[in-house]
Amino acid sequence: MDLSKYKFNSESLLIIYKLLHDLLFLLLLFFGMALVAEGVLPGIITAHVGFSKIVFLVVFNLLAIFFTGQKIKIEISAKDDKKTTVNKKLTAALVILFGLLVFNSLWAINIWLNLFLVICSLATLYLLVKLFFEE
Amino acid sequence: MKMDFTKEIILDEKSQKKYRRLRFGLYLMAILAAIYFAYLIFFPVQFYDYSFANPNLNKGNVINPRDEAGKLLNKGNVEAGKKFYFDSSVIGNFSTVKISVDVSSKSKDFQPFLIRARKSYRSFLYPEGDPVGFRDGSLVKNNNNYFIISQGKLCQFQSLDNLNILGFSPGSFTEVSGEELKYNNIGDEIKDSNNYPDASIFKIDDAYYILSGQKLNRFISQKAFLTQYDENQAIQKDKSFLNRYQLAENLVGFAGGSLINYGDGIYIVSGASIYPINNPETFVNMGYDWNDVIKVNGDELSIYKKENIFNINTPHPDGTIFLADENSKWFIIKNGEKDSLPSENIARSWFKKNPIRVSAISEKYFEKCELSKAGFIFSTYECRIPVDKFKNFEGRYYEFSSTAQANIKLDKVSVEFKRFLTVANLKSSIKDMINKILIHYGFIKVQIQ
Repeated sequence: MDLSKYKFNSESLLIIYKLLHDLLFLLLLFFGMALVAEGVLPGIITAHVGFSKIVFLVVFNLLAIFFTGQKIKIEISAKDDKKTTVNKKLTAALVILFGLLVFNSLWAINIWLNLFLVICSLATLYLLVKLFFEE
Repeated sequence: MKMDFTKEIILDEKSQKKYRRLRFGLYLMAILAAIYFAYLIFFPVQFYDYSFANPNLNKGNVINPRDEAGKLLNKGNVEAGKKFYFDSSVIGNFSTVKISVDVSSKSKDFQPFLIRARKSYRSFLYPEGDPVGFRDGSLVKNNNNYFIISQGKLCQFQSLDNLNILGFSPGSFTEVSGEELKYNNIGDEIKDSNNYPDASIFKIDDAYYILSGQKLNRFISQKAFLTQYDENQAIQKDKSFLNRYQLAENLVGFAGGSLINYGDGIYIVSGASIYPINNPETFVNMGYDWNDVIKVNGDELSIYKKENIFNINTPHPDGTIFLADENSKWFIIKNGEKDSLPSENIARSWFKKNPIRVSAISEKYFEKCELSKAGFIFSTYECRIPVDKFKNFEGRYYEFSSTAQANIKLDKVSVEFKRFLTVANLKSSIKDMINKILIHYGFIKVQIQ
């Protein structure tokens, strides 16, 4: 059996690589929406699909991106990486989402203590980002 | 579509076209998957099964296939003419339930049989026991005859003077009919004005006591006392009275069926045990009323033994009082039986809070379907029952039963609840969801005393 005809040329791999990014976006969008839905109404998502399965799909997708990238020799140089600008709107949206999820998970406790813990969590997140991503 | 997460990768025109088409397909699939997921959420399917061939797979299953004695069917064998049962509890309004039975190839004489289904509260379907009379300690009167219920017996006070000397207040006796008195056996007449009959109640300082076996049993708190008796039933005494009788070690708690709240937990009291309710959904679906929840302290909680979690599959524990809506009949759950409480006066002597409302018809209303072969290859038989016909009945417990026509061996039994795709069901799902969200965030007022 001649398998050579099934071999992907680099142009096909590039398409797959790009599609995998789209799929990653869709999976992360679903994951984010599932987190919010589950926070508002516990069990609404996990009754049908567990978070572990979604995480597994995301990880599998990331690995596929990594290996496809290797195959077509796509590299992100450290120089390029540093230049990558952080999308401020997206960051602000993610920070707000993170804060709301923490606030929601602590709904049962006193509101002031809740707000205090949300601020502490955001501060911890900021310091971690500083520690790991800044020179 | 402007979104491109890999702008740096430039494709040639042909590949770009191909990529666009594939990406369109991917997003279309995502939209279809989202619609399907929304369908699963708004029109849920609940599936339960029990495999006799692989009993190890049944961990956590709730279908509970059993014989007439309530024992698990031995390897799925049912003798000819014998009844067998299985059940499931589901939250939500469903349209239909599909019942499937896999019959072993060893069942040569198998004939398709009828499956009957009914829906109610699990414990309301218990067999009916003997009627129960007034509870111990009840003070009742009939035509100027005064009685106390002592050790389950109706004990008459010899005279009003005798009653007054002992310190009972005639105003605390409830007027009842002669018919209502028939449910307690007749006990000895109370002639002695110095000694109290068992089940006499006293208030000493701020504590309440009940005489039992000629020992004084203290109530853990006034709240606990008031779930069982009225304030005016207690005879006021001073501290010296405590020297007259021995004090019992055990404390008396709340009436059976009471709902108590400590911290974030709500518990159902049953004898010396409490059952923690797993979530507000179970609380509401099992017919409880938030207004009946009593806030307790650690001392009040500590006298109880904590039992397993009470969930939608758990039957209401002993002490639960049911009130059947159509015929105003009262029942109390005791030792796996549903004992009738012949009047409201008798029922109120057992429980001061709201009873669990239930439809009396639910016990006797059956829907049926006849099994038929589902395919050509496997010996699977199935039929459907429209469960929306049960929608006016309280309770989430479905009991399925059947009688085997010949000796049969079952490999598997399964039930699948489905909701039809209709606008009414969609509206009902959205309404349920909003209610759940309001309960989750505490916007539905929960008043705890």
